[in-house]
Amino acid sequence: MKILVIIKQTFDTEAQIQLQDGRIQGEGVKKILNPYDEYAVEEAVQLKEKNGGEVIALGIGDAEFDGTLRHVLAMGCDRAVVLDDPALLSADARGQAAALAAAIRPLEPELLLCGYTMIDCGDGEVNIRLAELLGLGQVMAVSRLELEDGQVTAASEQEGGQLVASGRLPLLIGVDKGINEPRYPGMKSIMQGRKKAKAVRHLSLADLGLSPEELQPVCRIQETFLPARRSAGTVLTGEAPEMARRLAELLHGEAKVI
Amino acid sequence: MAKDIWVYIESREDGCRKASLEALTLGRSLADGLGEKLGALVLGAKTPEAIEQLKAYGADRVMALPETAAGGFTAESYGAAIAAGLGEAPRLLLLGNSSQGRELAPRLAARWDGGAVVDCTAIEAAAGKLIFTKPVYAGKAFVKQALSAQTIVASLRPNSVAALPAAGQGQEVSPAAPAEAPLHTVVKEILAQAGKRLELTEADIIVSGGRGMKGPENFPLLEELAAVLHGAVGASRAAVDAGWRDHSEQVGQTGKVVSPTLYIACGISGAIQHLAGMSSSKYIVAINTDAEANIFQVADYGIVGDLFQVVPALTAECRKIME
Repeated sequence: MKILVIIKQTFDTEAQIQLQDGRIQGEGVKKILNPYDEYAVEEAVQLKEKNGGEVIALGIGDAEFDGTLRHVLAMGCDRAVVLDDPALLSADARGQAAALAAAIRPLEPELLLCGYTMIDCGDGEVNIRLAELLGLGQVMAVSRLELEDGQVTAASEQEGGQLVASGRLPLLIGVDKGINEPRYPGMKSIMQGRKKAKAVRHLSLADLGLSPEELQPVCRIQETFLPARRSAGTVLTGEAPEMARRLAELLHGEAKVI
Repeated sequence: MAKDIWVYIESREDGCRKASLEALTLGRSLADGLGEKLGALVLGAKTPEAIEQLKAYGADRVMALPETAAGGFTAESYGAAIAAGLGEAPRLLLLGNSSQGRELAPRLAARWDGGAVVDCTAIEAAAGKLIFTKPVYAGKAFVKQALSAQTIVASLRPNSVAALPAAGQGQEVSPAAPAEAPLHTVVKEILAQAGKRLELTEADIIVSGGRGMKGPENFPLLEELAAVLHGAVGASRAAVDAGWRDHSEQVGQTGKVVSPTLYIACGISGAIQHLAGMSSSKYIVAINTDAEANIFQVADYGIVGDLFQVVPALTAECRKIME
């Protein structure tokens, strides 16, 4: 079975956001594989180990992406394809989805896996657009995935419970935390990852048969700003029953929230 | 030029979802600002009460679509049904940013070759243009975006605006066409969580626990306080990673981003990724033994003390007030 995992690099979750010239400053910030994508990579590799086949990682990135690529290859992806073009890094979700779709069509994967959300933009827009462009069904926020003879059963986390969907491949599955425990590659895997990283395929827009005009963004950022800093308020000290009584009073009388 | 504003409404037996009505209220003010008509579109289980509710919240048009052949929510089937029902792509389709909203917005935007803004917290109409405010990095920063697309699909974060009744024409209209797209997935079953729990992202009050809870056996303390306040229980990454609470309760950059009226953090130190997920709460209370904990930097009210003594006392005090 041919499994494609779509990966993205994001800032580390502990990173502070700073602005420079009105934009988010990324230089020197520690970058990681989007945490939800890590679950997708693990799921893909486990499926391959069980059913055989091949796992291909696909993402948009520049030279900074190399560390993340080595990591997913060490985790067990067989090869990687990178869409590496300046026009893509400035494209919006619509443009990025169009480019990924163009790269995926000739690969003809049976299963597409991704993280159901990205911790930078806080959504899964690119990959969901991709599913629509490729005419695929999708199940997102998947916490349990079963696959048998091309038949997929996936449990999706929804408000108030789980929705269990079933369908036939090909499908896009966006995974949630909790679906598995991503492995920590050992030294041997890391060495294999480095070796596989030398064979990473880099594709430009021209390679995909797309022009920069087709990727003109429809979505433009007018302003980037940091939230107003909260300041420390009233701190209560003393005996527990007295503090609890005063807090309840403040919440009721001053804040008026209870 | 695409016209009209439509709002996709999720309805359940107990009425329309709060996040959907909030989107409808925002839709009403945008429609007034742009001189557009406001439609409300409800799919699947619906009651006459839900239709009346939509009229009462300012819809000029109300459209009801039958449940799809998928037998429940799949973005593919619902997206196809909404697009067919509307016939023409609208100028703006709004949704609540629920599980359904965050999947449908990009799906429909791609179908219409339009733009999407998922999880926005504000939309303003200025000089005939729409400006969308959206948190990025879980609220560590915000961006304001303008879109040049003919059609925009946007999902609104719950608790961003208050749902309010409004005047509208309240005309019931029929779908333009039934959906006939092939389906790749169908819904097999829907497993409701044991006990009807309030959804974290829509809760007005959240009582959240971290490493300081010391173990899963102590969370009933928080559940009791949450029950008295009609709130929901949340957890920090430390508590979830330790296996004490389900991931669906995790608040933070790798969990849910919440903006309740009141957030009570118990035994939570306040890691950056947790603060990102709850800093937009209106009021924050921190209860922690460590006076130096980061959480106190963002708390409106802090209690330096033992949560095992403070929380039960607070529950008793709140019970008196709520009664």
